[in-house]
Amino acid sequence: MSNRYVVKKIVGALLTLFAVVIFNFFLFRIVDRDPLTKYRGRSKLSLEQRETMIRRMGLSGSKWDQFVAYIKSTLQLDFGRSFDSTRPVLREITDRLPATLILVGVSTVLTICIGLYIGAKAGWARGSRFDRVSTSTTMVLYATPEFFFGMLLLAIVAGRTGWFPTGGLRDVGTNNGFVASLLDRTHHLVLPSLTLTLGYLGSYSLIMRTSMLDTLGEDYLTTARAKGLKESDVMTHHAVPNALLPSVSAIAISFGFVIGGAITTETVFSYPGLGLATADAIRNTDLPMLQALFLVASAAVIFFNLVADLTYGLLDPRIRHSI
Amino acid sequence: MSAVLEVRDLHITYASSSGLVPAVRGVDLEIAPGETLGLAGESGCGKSTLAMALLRLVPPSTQITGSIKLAGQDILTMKPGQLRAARWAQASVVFQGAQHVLNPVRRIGRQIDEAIEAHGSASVSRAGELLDLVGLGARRGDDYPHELSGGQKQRSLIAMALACDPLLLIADEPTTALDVMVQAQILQLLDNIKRERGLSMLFITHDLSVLSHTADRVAVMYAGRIIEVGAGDALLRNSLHPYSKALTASFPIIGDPSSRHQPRGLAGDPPDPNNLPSGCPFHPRCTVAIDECQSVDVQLRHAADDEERSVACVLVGKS
Ligand SMILES: Nc1ncnc2c1ncn2[C@@H]1O[C@H](COP(=O)(O)OP(=O)(O)OP(=O)(O)O)[C@@H](O)[C@H]1O
Ligand code: SF4
Ligand SMILES: [Mg+2]
Repeated sequence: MSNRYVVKKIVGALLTLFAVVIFNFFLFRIVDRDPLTKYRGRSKLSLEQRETMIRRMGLSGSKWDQFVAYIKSTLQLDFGRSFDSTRPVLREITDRLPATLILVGVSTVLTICIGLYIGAKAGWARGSRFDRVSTSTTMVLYATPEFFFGMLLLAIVAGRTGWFPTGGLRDVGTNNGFVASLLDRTHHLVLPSLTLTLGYLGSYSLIMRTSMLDTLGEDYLTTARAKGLKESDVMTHHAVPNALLPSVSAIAISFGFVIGGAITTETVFSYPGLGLATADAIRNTDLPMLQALFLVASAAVIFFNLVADLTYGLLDPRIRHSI
Repeated sequence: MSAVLEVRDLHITYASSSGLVPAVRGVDLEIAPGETLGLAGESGCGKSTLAMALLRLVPPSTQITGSIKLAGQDILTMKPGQLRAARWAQASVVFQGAQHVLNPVRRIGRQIDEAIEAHGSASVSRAGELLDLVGLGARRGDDYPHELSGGQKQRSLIAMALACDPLLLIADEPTTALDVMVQAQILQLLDNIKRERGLSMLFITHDLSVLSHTADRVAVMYAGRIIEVGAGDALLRNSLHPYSKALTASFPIIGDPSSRHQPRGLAGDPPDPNNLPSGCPFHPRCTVAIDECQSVDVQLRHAADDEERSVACVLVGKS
């Protein structure tokens, strides 16, 4: 893979992000006529105070002035203050980001590993018992919305057995050492990440199964068999590496849905990450928060697609050499 | 010395969505050590099917009856482990259409060495040595298939086929997709290798003219059967079956793809294996057919005037 390819992809990602920033400007200027409708304590504000606030939010002056001010502050990562907590939006986000990164990270890794494994095995043994059982299961998983898994796990596993906490990030008042705190956080992470994993496992494994089926008839598999290779080697060294290629792009595209899934999952488990913050911000029409959260979500999708593009280049020598 | 390959009464029937396709319908053939048998016939007559069946590489749903003995052992009754051990060690294939035969995301050298490793030989790489042998150069082992030209791919396939020192090399139209110059080089290469190593070879082609240099014996196939077989030069110079006559009279122009499906001087299309004509399957296209041809499905039999020759035609070999 040439440096030019990497640079090209990174520049492309930055341009996309910039387009989102511009889109964001217009999106949040058409939602509400009075941006302070939902501001707490609005009634106590004098007219002057209102104007100062509106100016601080960059909502005064001509559209062009507003735009320039908006771009400037966005570049400085200044998103204003949350209507709800009145703390700086940036602080709100950096405080909650780690929780979501861990939740989405763990679930994504699990979904990809388990999903690709099941999909590859099912496609390879098309029509076998494993295929029939796993495909009908993943179809059901695929069709079920993740809040349903969340509520089910919450009611049965957390509620009935009490084996797992029903929500939150950690137990309050447990502050005894690193290991204990790590265990506690992991304990809280199990059900939310299981929910998110179950929610997206189906789509990843169905994607992999389909691309596996597409490679089954390829001539190079016959060549590999002719050479006397074991079926398991034909699968792992020849079928899977080729079937991975289309899966990588398809998985990257569906990553946006995982972010949506994080919002529902965090809400169900009151897991204090960006997803819960998004749900709260929507409920409170906390425009500054929403604007920044929208940007973060878009940046995550763009970043994930960039990673997929680069991975694709690594996996496929034809791409690696041609660009 | 006993034959390297001995095929008896081989029938191969594909199970396709539109029904059973009898692609090979009773073939007998044998190849002696060091001998090259040329197998010729139009597209769709069952050449590749026959070649693939020799290592049991046809789809699992395919019915195969008869026997295929490689070095005395019947491929059709082997257990999976025995079959894997026989593949590539007894016979290897230079596949038709090199385009998709190599794995696009695996290095050439790896694809050669994995054959050796599958047969339990030491893990020393022989890929470089083999690539040198076919004139590609050892360095090419690090390349991926898309980095090679058509002729280079074909050379790497030949190197791959030699990896386990097979007794029999099955070359399925090894030069079809190549231009004339490269075609000649590949034929030369195969010929040299065969001589140096004393290999037996099954050389499949739709183009009889390439067989005049390579084949000790020639078999002509039509609609899933061998309709004429004999010593190479004698058959090519003086073919007896009306179909072989039409083929030899109209050596297709090398490198002209249109001559592949429609040899000059031969009207009509090859028969559809699903819907074969009655009697001699060639009769709708035969210029010398008589009434009997529509009802009598004549078997291969010795021609009266040539000991080595067998022909399947009512007009030939009646004594
Ligand atoms: N997997 C399959 N399923 C069903 N029918 C098949 C299959 N493979 C080949 N056939 C049919 O069997 C017949 C023989 O095919 P085959 O590939 O052996 O011909 P061929 O002589 O090698 O032709 P060509 O010169 O085009 O390579 C054809 O009619 C073909 O359509
Ligand atoms: S048997 Fe009849 S139809 Fe067939 S090749 Fe001979 S003459 Fe022609
Ligand atoms: Mg063929």
